Amino acid sequence: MISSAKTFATLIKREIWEHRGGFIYTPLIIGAVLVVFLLLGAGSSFFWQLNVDGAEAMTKGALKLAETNVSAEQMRMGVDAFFWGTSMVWQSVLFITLFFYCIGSLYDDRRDRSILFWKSMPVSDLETVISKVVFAILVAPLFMMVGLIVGQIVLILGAGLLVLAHGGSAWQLIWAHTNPFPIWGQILVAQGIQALFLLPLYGWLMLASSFARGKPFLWATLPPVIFAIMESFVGFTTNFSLSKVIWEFILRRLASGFAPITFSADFGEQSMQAGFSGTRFASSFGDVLGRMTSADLWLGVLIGLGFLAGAVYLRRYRDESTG
Amino acid sequence: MNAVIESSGLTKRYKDRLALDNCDFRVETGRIVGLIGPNGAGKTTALKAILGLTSYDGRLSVLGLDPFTQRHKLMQDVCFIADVAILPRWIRVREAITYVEGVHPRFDRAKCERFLSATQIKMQSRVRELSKGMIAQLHLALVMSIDARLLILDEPTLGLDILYRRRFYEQLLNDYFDESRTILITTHQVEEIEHILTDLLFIKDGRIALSATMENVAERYCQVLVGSEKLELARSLNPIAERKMLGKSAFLYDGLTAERAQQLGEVHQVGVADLFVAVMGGGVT
Repeated sequence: MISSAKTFATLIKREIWEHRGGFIYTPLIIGAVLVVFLLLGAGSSFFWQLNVDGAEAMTKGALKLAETNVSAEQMRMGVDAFFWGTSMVWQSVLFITLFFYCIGSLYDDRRDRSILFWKSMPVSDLETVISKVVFAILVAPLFMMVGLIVGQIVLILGAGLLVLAHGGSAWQLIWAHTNPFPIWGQILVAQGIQALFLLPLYGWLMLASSFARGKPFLWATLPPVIFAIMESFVGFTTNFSLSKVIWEFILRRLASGFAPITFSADFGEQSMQAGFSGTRFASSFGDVLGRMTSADLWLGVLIGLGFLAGAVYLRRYRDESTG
Repeated sequence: MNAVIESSGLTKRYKDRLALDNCDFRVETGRIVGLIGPNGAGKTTALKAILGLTSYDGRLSVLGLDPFTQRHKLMQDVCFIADVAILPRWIRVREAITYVEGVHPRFDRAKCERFLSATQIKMQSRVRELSKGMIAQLHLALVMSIDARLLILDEPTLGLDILYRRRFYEQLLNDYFDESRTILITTHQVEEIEHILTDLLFIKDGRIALSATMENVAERYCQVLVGSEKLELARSLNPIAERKMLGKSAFLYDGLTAERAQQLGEVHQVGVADLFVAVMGGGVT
């Protein structure tokens, strides 16, 4: 039970204190790094050719486009592509950080024995686990959004200034076509759906984190691999393959983590085979919200809640010591 | 009087052995109880059962609650320091205080800050930057600022130097303890807490070997220094321990009348450590 809002706010604060580096500073650092790439790209013809960065490519592209005749519509799509493209960096890094956050979430305090301090406080294990899940699916993405918005504003201003420095019109080429608010809105909504979509993954990782007496990473990653290997020995004669269904379930979520659903509106079987060529930009809220109607999403949420219930149970009732 | 902890038939079985074997004991309000026993005797298991950290068989009631199933409620009134220096290493002092204030309704921030102002601990420091002694001070300051009815300390000063150890217990006695509170302590350094204890609870092989108040102990047990001429007589009176001391022999008796004891030689109060060795070590050597 959540005993009070104050307790819960404190538990969230606790997560923020412990993980400042990974979830508050990192999104800001990503922005700084992209800006550096932009400047490097502008300063050196070597990087210019390498196309190291979307912003740099866009600056270059914008300058080229200035010589040809392109419609305002195409310009706008180019600038939008820049926003979508660079947002991938933030979203992928968030996913990787969250992956390891979940693996450590219910293990690290047992390893350093500080769990006895946490358990000496009137906080239930259910509250603890809920606070960590809420941090992963809500708080961390919000901090990521702040870093992303600040970073992209600096980048788009910087790209414009570079165009100016090269003698182009920043307004005409870039800023007039810049309208990031619908994109940020869609990323935000998509992050929320992404959180639901990835709940079984987070739940599994936290279950492994709660279960492991050591090496939580292996406990999190080996069982599905071993399961697949075993089934490949036993089950290859039948048409129906359970591990194939499970692996598809897992891989779609991993892929969605790295290539968030804003980017891959449909990541079904065909696009799996076609690789990343099947991906496209989500162009409307409709595309993003369309995910909400998928049975797969809600089945995943149920499975995720099951895993989390297991994590709470283990943390609450398992006796850690042997004497 | 009110029982803070009451157990009957408390048993904890691990796969291959009994950690607690049918323990019956009572801890009354306003006492400072030393739970004393050799390593592996079941001290920690008993504390974990009392704190709801482990399941058990038999009956156990702490502040009228079942600790295992009502753990969350229990933690409003019970505080514990299990082992030394185990505060999370990444947390800052300021954050630790804010955390406890946020989750514990009975925490008094001003009190905690007052305790800390008497130490070298800085609000901005991380726990990992503090010495072991300072971490123990911080933990004690946090715990003493919680208005809990039962405080459980499991080896709270292990590995600390003597200055910190002494200050720790002095502070506990002067700034925290009163008749509405109860403290249960386990430690190896029996001599250091002897003077603050009001009750003794000896545990051996998962069983309660002795449960007595310090007054009981003083009445019941005595140590007599016997010269060589009365050794035979002394041995015939069923001493529970005998050892050589400064050319004489020290005998420990259970239930010897004061009159008898004085006939034998010089009578002394029994130290907890001596009593412990006698009760645990088993008989005359």
